[in-house]
Amino acid sequence: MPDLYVAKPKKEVFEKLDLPPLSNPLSSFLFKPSDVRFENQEKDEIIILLLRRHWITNLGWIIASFLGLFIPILFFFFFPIFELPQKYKILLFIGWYLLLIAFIFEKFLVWFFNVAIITNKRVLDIDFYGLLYKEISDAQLEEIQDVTQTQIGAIRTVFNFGNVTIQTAGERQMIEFEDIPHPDKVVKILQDLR
Amino acid sequence: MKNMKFEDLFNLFYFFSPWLFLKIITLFLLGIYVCFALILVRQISLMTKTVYGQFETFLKIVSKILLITAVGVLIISFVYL
Repeated sequence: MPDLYVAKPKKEVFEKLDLPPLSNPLSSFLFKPSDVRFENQEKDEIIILLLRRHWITNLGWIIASFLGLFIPILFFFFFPIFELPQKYKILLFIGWYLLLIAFIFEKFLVWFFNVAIITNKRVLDIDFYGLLYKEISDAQLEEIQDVTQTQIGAIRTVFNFGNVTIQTAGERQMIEFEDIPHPDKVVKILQDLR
Repeated sequence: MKNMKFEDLFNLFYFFSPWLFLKIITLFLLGIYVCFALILVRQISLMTKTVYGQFETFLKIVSKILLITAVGVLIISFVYL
């Protein structure tokens, strides 16, 4: 008996999207990263996209940290009357730079581990707020009802990043990927996967 | 405190050293920093369990160096201040 209907194999949309190179592990947009895995990943689950906030969102704390490097020098230059014993001055220097290192490290970690993951089975949003709060939300691809892309403001338009909001039929009704690069491509990939 | 005489109170303030007070404050703040560095080491271990495959070893080493430095500064401050 001849087949009534045979679905043609679905050509992957990714090939047409002109995706950026994947070699840099510090990238905000990693397409099919081979060396990354996540908690509770199933054996046959493949990561299609790993997203972080666009690097430009880090500019504020990077500039603040750079200026922070010079604060002790400026402080002792402009306030020479602030006479402390030498050992306390050295300790103040060391203390300041320890705080600065902690600030930079914490900001980097929060950026690096706040990821959105799209696999061939589900979408995950992993959020760390500061160092003490962790939130993971996920939704199966079949549960996705609507995907919205928002790109507001000149900076977002120039650097091409924005939010992608995913409405789901699951327990958690909304998953939001914030300030991710190439939101149009993410929406296209999600549409293709559904 | 109930039986404290005026002379005792006078002696307390007379021999009070602002440098000792500063040392206690410094050691207290450095102690808080050591606690923060400990939390950081633990948190990195949790974060690298959540998403792993990139920079795990590097981040763990950096956090441990930070902890060792913090403990070192605390000990040096305790001895030399």
